[in-house]
Amino acid sequence: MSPPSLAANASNQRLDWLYIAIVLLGILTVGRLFYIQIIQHGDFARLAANEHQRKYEVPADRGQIYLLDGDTKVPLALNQQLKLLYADPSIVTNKRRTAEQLAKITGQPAEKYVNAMEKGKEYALLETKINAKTADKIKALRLRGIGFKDQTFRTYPEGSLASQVLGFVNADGKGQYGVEGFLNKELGGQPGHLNAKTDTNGVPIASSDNLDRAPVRGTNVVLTIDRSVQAQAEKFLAEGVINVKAESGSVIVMDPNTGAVKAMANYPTFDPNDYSKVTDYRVFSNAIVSDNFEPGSVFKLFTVAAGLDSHKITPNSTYNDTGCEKIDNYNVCNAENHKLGPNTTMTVVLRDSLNTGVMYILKLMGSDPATITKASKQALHRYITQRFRFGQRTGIEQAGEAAGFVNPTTTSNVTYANMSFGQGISVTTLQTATAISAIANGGKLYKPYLVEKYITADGSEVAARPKVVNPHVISTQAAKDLGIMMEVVVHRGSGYRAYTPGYKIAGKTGTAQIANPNGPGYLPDKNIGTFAGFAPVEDPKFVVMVRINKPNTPGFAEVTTVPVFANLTRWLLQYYAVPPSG
Amino acid sequence: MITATMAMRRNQNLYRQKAELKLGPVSSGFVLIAITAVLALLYLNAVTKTAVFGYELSQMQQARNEAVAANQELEIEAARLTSIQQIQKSQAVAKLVPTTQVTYVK
Repeated sequence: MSPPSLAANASNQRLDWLYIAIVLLGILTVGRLFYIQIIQHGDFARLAANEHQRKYEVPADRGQIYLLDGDTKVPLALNQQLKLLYADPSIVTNKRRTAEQLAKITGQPAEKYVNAMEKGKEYALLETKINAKTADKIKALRLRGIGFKDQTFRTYPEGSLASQVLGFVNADGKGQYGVEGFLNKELGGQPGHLNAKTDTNGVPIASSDNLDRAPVRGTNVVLTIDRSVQAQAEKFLAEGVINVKAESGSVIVMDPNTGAVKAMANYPTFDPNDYSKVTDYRVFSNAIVSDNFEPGSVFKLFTVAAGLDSHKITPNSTYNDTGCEKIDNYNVCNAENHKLGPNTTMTVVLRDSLNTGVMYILKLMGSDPATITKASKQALHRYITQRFRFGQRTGIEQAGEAAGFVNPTTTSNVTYANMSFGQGISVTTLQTATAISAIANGGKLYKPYLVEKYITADGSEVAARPKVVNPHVISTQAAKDLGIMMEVVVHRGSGYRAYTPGYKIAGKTGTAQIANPNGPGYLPDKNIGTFAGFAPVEDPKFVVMVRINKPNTPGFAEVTTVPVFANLTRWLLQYYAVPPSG
Repeated sequence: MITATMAMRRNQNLYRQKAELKLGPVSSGFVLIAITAVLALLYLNAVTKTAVFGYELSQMQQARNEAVAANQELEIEAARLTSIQQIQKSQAVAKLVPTTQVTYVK
């Protein structure tokens, strides 16, 4: 066998190297593939999925809100599918011409669109709330760089009616203030999800791999508010506030036998359809539930109620009205230097709103009738906080409810003396009206409520039931006596403007000083007028409370609030077809 | 004893040809490719049909959304026209006079 030639050896070597190179290349390729397909599998799979798979959140229709007109449901908040008009300025060829063409259809100035397009680089919002008809006209123009986006807007067909009770839905679809804010979760429903393969334009392709969860519409809500009562309350309140040149005002109408709120009106008000135009955000709040204030003499009702219920006084009990009382070295006097002397009855205390009279009751409630003691403070505190539940939120379906503030029994005697006639204590209009409802109905404290019923997405209805918080706030006899004493206030006292021949109407005025927000003491020439009452006394159908803030006319609450109460009460007596008391 | 087999053997001129279909590796490959192609076409057809249905569904949903939007528009318009502000503005209401004396029949 002859040895291989040198050339053959070299050729074999080259083949070997080639073989090794190919094997190495193969190993490298397999290695790289292993790295990409096994180790980086997750990343690339995600990238691929992003190309042809999309996740959509399908928004749920927001629940609608209704109020009542008699027994008929009336829509108060509805949803509207509208469009948002936008431009991509980088594509728009002639901005001026495009703006002019759009302006012709929308009726807006062309300059507005030109400015918007010059500000934006790739996105310029031109218009919101474009309806289908207008959108079709714009689409027909086939304008380059102009597009639409579907959006659901909240619409309030009743305009500003009950706006503070309602609140509004902001641009992010979130409920703010009022019922919209408080029941945002229930109204909002549950959004659906669509995880689908899409075509090159992003349009979902039907496939068995798609994951679809339908949205669940929000719960519809029917409010206890009566449209006619609400409209009249707003009308009389606006007239009242304007007449006395006041800063603002509120009115609440409640059914004392259930706790259902029939009207909540505030002035000034706003239109929730145009909430973005509001400059003073305070107008969004429902002052009836969110404003703490010192109630003034209207609060004497609860001191007298405590005295009657604890059998310390009767309507005919007497005391010596000296005009002023010295407490903790402070002289606490009646308003306008009233001094009625001995044998002043408790009925007169309420009729003439005597501060010394309620301080006398406070003293009687303790261990020593000659002075304010810890026991008397504890007794009053118990009635105010545990019976009438001042200082606690009522839990009404409204966002931003305030709790009020009741001073603890450790505070000074003079503070409690002031509290007995409604100064040095803060309450809300709702708390006061709720407590007066308990007096009106014979002693049951109901939880105030605004939602008559919930209608869920499957059509089932859940009706609200009146909830008794405390069945015996005061005795039936004490409540009856107090009702008669309040009737005297309207018949012969500060509430005389509300006197309506033939009807027994109960009420109590209050003119409270306003605490100085910048320091100690009270504002010298500002007050809050209140008037709360119910009718008819023998079988109360409604409780009304009026509050007027900072009136700019001379006089007490009898001038500022009683006319509003009187107008509304007379109208309500007719509306509820209440026959005269006889 | 002459059996039938022996008789057959005697008639050696009897001839029977058995037809046999044999597939080589290349033919099998072609057949496999053809079957795969047919199945792929069937699959593509099914997928395309589903996709077409998807587009139809999408269009129907669009039409439904438009109908719902139109219905909402009408509902809102009706609500606006019957709102308390509109009622108060109406001429019929303007002609009404407030009640002053109400008599209740017991």
